[in-house]
Amino acid sequence: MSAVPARPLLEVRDLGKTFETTRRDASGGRETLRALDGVSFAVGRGRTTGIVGESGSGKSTAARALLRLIEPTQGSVTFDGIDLLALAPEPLRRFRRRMQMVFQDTTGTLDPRMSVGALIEEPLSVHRIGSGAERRAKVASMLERVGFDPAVARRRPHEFSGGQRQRIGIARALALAPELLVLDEPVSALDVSVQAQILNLLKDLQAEFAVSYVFIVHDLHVAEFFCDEIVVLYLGEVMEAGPSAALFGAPQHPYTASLVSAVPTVRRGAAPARRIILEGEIAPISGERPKGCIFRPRCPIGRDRALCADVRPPLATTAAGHAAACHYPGELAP
Amino acid sequence: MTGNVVLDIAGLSAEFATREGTAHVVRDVGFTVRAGEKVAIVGESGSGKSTFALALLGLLDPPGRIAAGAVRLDGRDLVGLGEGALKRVRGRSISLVFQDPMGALDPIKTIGAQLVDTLRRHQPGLSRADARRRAAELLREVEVGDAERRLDDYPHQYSGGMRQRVMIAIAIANDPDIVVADEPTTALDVTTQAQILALFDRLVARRGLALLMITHNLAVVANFCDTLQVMYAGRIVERGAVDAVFERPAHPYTEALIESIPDPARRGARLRTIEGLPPDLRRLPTGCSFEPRCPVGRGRPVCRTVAPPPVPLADRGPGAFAECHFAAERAGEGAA
Repeated sequence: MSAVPARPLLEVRDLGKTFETTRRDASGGRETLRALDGVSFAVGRGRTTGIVGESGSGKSTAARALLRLIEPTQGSVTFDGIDLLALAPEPLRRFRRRMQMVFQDTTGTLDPRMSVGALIEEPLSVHRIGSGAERRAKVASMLERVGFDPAVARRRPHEFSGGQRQRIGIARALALAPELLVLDEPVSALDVSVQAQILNLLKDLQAEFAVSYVFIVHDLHVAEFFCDEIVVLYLGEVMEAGPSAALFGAPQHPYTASLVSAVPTVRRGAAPARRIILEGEIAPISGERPKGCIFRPRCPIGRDRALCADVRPPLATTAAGHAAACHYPGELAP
Repeated sequence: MTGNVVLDIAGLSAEFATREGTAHVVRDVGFTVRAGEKVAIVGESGSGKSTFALALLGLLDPPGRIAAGAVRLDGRDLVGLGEGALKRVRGRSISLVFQDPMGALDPIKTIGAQLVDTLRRHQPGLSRADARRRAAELLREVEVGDAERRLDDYPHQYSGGMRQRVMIAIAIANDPDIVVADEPTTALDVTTQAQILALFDRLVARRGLALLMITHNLAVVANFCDTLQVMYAGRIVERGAVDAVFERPAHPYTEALIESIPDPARRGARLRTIEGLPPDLRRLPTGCSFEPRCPVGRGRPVCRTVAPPPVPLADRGPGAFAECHFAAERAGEGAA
């Protein structure tokens, strides 16, 4: 069983983010959109926590909020004992070398006018690390580490395939030797055989650099295969969290159970006993949060229950390290 | 139950003229699809599956062109038909569902107007009032709630999943014999994907529709289609009943694709990858196009010099084959 070490690298507590919209509410104030509410999880050193959920679940907002790429409106983020939300802009900027991000869309994030070498060197020069010669040596070694001939440093991003560009993005993010890498859907746009290469590479790099990953992912097969711990988000709230094997093997929350049962699988005999097809779609909530369970309108077991309508279920432990925000955990099995 | 042959493709080849020579993007593809059948073409980026879909529907623009072959729809060859005749066929006998419904819908027209247009384009005798009634029925058939009212909404007022339902309603509006669905669920969340696949299932069963799904997603095919066809470097390199192919892939490429999907049962293990890149379609090797990357055939003289003919694998469903010199033994490996 996987157990989180006593002092995790990253601890997110009760993280919340509310956006103001341009619409006015009844009292004339701006209508608000809750993107995250009460999200807590931890990431152990050298381990991977996966954040899963559908579009609109808040997983990308969570990634950006914990790096302070957007400012959370509530909660705390503790990185190696340091309160990130208390850092002033300049200390925060210096701190950023310890936590980096890799994006899904390499076309939008790798400047097409820069050479691959300049792209990988850029974070080093921004943080004033090493001499020019040292930086170029670092670029060469990073390129080699992700499977390129260092001579490709002179080429530009458009000369590379999607999978190769993703390897360049990873080399750029790892050049600063960060302790935490936030990976936002890094393999979603790739063919399955290329996806396999990137996942293998990420596993190797994690072993080599002892880096921790927060892995934002919508593909549950990738999540289950790759991550140690999983956090399931729905409309900005944690529905379930726990060790990957336990969470996918015996999901406690009806939303997780529905997700697991909806995923098509190529494994003979691994198909779920029955397919739970949820009705409706995830729809953002503006203004006041309904008082009961946020998932209740779509929930196959809670829709008509008074408790679910009236009381927001707390994230309660169901087994060691495994918790679900449901009044009836384990009742719906895939 | 499946019925008559609806679509019969024979020897279809498509190519692009480039400065560095002709790219043979679709090479000698042939198969049939019957009423009530769900057939898949699976391939990675650059396999030729999208060009194949365009060629099939007569939508290939220069510098692309159909170099050879026939696309018989209900017995009539579409290759060589003029644009006017093709337009009468498309949306009527064969229709298309794309990955991105927002790009295919007109943002400044209501959903109702777009459905009415589609209906009246092919049924000019239909009055506006009747077409609108028919449009509401179609929305109900694709399970859009409150159909009457939602006819007057614009595409942006629909969610992604609901827009894809509208695309399906447009595709079936004129009662086609076959729907070609190009990555129809790729942009959707897994719960919405499950809803759309279940809807397709009901439409196929109820209408006796034939469905040709073009996708990169093997798992969707494994759970949803009857027949799998794997495309590599412009050719279908393996075809067979879905269960049989997943049970024992006869082509090494098919096997490698299946194995590269993360298997939670093998957590921590390294994933299978496919070394190298697909061949340059302007300079195809004389032998098997997968040979340079093939764990079975790499370096073998027969694989390097002789393009493998399709090896029939009769016990794997109608028209099953694999284009591999070792297909017969691989398909039979471990069999009783």
